[in-house]
Amino acid sequence: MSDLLRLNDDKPLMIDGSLSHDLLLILSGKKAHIRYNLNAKGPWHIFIFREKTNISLIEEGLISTDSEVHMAYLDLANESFIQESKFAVLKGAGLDIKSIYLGDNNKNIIFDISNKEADTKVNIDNSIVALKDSDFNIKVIGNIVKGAKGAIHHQKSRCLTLGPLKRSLISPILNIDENDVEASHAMTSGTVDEEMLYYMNARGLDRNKALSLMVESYLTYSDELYKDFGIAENWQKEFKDREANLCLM
Amino acid sequence: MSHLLKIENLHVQVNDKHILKGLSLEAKSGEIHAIMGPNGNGKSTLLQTIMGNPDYLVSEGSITFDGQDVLKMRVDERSRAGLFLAMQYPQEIPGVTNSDFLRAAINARNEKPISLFSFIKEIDTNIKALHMKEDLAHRFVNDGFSGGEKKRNEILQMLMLKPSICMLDEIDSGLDVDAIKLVSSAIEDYYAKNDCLMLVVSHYERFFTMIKPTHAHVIIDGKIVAEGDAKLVEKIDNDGYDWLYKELNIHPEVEVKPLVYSLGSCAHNKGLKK
Ligand SMILES: Nc1ncnc2c1ncn2[C@@H]1O[C@H](COP(=O)(O)OP(=O)(O)OP(=O)(O)O)[C@@H](O)[C@H]1O
Ligand SMILES: [Mg+2]
Repeated sequence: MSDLLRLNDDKPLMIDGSLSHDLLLILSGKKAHIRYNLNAKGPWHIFIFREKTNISLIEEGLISTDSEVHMAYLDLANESFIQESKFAVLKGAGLDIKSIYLGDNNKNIIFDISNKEADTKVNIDNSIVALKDSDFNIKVIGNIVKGAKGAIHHQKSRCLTLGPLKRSLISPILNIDENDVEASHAMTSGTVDEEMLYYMNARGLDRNKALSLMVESYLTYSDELYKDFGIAENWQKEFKDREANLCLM
Repeated sequence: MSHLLKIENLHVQVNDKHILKGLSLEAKSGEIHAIMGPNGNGKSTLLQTIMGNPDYLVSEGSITFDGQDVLKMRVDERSRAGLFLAMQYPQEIPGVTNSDFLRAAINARNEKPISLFSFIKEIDTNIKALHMKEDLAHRFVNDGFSGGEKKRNEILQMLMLKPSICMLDEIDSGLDVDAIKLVSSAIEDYYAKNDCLMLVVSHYERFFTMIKPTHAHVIIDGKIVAEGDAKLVEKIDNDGYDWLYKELNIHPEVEVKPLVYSLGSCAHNKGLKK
């Protein structure tokens, strides 16, 4: 099971280590600044959960040669969220990012991930569910720098918007300066219109059930994620409850 | 328990257009009602109104089901009460798998959630009976389905949800010859084993030789203008609707196209290019 670390003051945190670890980081303050220097051969699993506050999270990290790091972000709150995550991946290393953002209000998220050297692997998978009055702005920047031969960089985003929203924007940006690479980005987005809702109603689902079914379908991989990151049962339950609460519209 | 659906003097408007103009119909368990009529005369409107599609406004009349006022019920309540409409144009729901959708729909009508085991067993049996592809349960609802696959999927939902009023809107259109046989035998089988009534819209007599109606109605201009049994279906198949128009002295609305004076676009284009 993962270790738990609660961040509730504004002091910067340094995560530095050569032993692999499963870590659950709870953000409960207003600001979090985290630096990483990870060089474990076995995989690191770092799961970041944002509690109910307006918060800004700044991260900078170096994924050292041949190490493997899995990051997950879970945001299930209506308060605003600013996140800037900047990672550089060094030779032979792999970084896997999975994120779930569910809620309304403002969310400004930037991932800036670089395949700095050869044979690096980056995989980014974002699920976004924008409720009612959201103003989401999510930028996923991928850089494959010159010399990063054999680099792999994949981005995937799924976005579901419910209700009239002010703005919801996902921008995938890929800067590729090397020839011998494999890179992609894919995006699916959906919404629930009245006709879909009618069809679901006509099969016996009321408005709430229909909407939460849609939301769940966008977050299907959450269970698997919790398992992979060794999230304790009580936290899993907490996450599910929050998800369900947010879906009651 | 026997069920009774009663429609009295129903008037329905869509987008300020008066479509149903005083339609009455009564159906009870053990009956199959064929509903026929030329295109655009209100067949789908009738079924959609019974189901509660918010686009269709009832301005007069009543619909009751076993004494309950259907018009007072929300769409999802009607469904849970036993009404089912296999739609002429089934909706796609990308992102939601068929099996999640069906399980949620079944659980919405039962106090205890269905066990995964019985659910899988039941859906597998029905998928086989309808000769549907095995991966169907894991595909998104109707998303990218062919026309025929969508229609089969509507019947799959019917078999799983076990309604007592089955309304089928042109379920046979888009199905190939073999599929029509499969689907109609699945419907017949359901009808034989369950306490239900059926309202079946189709343009084809052939379909009504497989699903044998006990009653038949013809809707023209939002009213039922002829009633009978399977013989009426046969007569329409042979003679069309002209005799009815004559008998009732109705003149079908013919769309009057405006006269267009064209300069001939080909020549025009050629002229431009030079
Ligand atoms: N949502 C809608 N918006 C506007 N007009 C509609 C709508 N639904 C139905 N109508 C109109 O109402 C009339 C009756 O349509 P309806 O779909 O009930 O016909 P139908 O008898 O089912 O025809 P078909 O045999 O072609 O399916 C048509 O003129 C149609 O254009
Ligand atoms: Mg129709």
